[in-house]
Amino acid sequence: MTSTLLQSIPPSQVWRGKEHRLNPLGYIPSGFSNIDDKIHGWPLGTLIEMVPSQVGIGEFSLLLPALARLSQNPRWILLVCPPHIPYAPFFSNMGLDTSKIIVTHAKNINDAGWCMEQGLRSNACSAVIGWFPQITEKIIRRLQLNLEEKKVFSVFFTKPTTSYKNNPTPWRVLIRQTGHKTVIEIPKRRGGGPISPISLSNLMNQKCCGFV
Amino acid sequence: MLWLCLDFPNLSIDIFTGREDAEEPTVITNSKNIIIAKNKACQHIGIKAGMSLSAAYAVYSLIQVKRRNIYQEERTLESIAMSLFKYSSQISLSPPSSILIEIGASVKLFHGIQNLRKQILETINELGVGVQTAVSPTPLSATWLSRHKVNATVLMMNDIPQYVNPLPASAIEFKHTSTTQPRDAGLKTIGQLVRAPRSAVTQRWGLSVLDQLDRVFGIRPDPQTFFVLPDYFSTEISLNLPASSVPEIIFGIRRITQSMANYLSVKQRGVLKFNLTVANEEQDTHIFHFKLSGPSRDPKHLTSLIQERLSRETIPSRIESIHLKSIQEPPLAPSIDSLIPQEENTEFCQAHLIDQLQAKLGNDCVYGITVCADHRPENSWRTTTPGERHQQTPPRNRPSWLLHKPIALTSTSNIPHLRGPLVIISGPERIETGWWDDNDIKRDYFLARTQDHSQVWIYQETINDRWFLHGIFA
Repeated sequence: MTSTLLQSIPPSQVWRGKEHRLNPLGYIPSGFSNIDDKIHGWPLGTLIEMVPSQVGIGEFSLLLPALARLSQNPRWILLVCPPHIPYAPFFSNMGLDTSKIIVTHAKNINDAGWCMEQGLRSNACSAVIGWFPQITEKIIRRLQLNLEEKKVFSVFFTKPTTSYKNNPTPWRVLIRQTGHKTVIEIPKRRGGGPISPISLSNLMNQKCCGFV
Repeated sequence: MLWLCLDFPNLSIDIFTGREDAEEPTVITNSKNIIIAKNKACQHIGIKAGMSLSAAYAVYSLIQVKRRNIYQEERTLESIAMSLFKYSSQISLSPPSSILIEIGASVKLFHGIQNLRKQILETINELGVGVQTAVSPTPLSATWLSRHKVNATVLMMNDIPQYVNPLPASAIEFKHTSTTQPRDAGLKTIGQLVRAPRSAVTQRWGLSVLDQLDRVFGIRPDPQTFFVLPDYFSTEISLNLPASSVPEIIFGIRRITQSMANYLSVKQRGVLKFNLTVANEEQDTHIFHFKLSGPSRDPKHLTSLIQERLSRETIPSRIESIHLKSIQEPPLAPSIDSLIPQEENTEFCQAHLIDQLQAKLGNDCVYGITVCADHRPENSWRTTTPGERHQQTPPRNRPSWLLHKPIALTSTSNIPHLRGPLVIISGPERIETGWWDDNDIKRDYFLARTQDHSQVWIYQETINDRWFLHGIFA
């Protein structure tokens, strides 16, 4: 009886807790079947906050298959304030077209936020990735405002120590390493409820590091 | 032929570009200290053109006084003429304050005289100068009407006398100012002067008066020298108040980039390199060189680039004039307006983004990266101008982050330590030699894991067995 009643109501008019509302601007396949099965891939046009527990656990490699796919597009991939030299041989090994990458360095987080905003607003970037040792809620809100309705893959990395009063990021991804597995937790995502942690094995050892 | 005359009655004051908000009473004087032009702020306090400077000081002691700059007025007329080429190719300057445009051939394209006049006035307003117009079949009658009967439109040769005859006789330019004026002889209007015996007119005021009368009615031909576009854009504007900060000069910059954009769109070119020179009272000049990643003629884009760049650098205080000069103008096809809405031109946006980032952060802080054919890790990548493509096959097993400078690691019994002893996962990979450029290396590279599961790229100098951290697998 209940099933027929639910079926008679158009799906757009009723929200069921277990269902995830699809991102209207679509997704980019992450390249990892575990992730794609659970969350359809990385959402476009939504600001994603990535919080690795520490540097060097493959947190950037997690984005690489998606970035490699986006680099087929004529638009730029903007890297704002990467913590070290983005090493071109690595990107090339991962199948990324390095001529699409632009690296920018800013003096402070406000300038870095400005760079990301320009990238998001310009229609010239397919992906905008930023690294912020510290970030303020004001910057996050501005980024999200500039992003609305733009089909851009936009991510910023912060440290786990970053504290917020009230975090406005629509997507928050925590990355940590346990033994040989990388575990991804998504405590917050727009239009969807909580999901169980996703574990990826061999993120570091296989294709991501260019090891064959 | 049909001539549209644009007369700029306040040109001598309009050339001193001011900020719209902070207008102080300003007057322009000629060499005899007679006020020949004033700005709007003077109207309320009762200062009029024709007053002597001392009389004006008696009315208001704080007025700003500027000497008339005829050279600058001519340059401004030229830059206005540049922006009018989209309406007609036959434009002639008629100093001191007018521009004549032959619009007979353009009327149909722009859907009638009134439409054309409206569009021309919009273009002029963007440049920030006051203008009055008139249309007539002969150049001289258009000029006179624009000065004395604003907005007159005469279409037929036969109608000229009807409009011109009532004009005051002072419309005529007299060669000798000392002789008696027609007014003194009781001839107040052009019509009365025309009816006077020609020999008498010649005797009193010379041949030039008759010549002008003949030209105004089209009895005698009046060929015009047409204005030709210069090879490169070079324009200077003066500010009416010295400026010391970017917001204060941005109004002038907006005006100058607008006239450069007009010039470029007429020539179907875009600017790739240009110089901006600002000079202050002490003639202390400061030149800013700009290089764009792609040709552009979008005034908003150019203004924002200049604005970002000037806010980043130190500019001299009390700036009086701004000079913009184009260095390289490659051809740029006009944008095609499509009926179907489509995404903005990506290539265009991409160049704009790079320019914007570079203007704000400096050229060194915005770059592309590429792989280089070198086995040494430090040399197997380099920065490039964004978008440059190189085909190289890099070596395998490389980290995503390379440290700017290798960090020395401590070691105990030849086991390197980074937050505890490191576990070697794979290696060694020997990378050595570089004798040709004094960067000789001899290293064994290893992939290692820290106790907290980070993966790092480390090496051991084969000469002294010291360990270094060189990369992170992020």
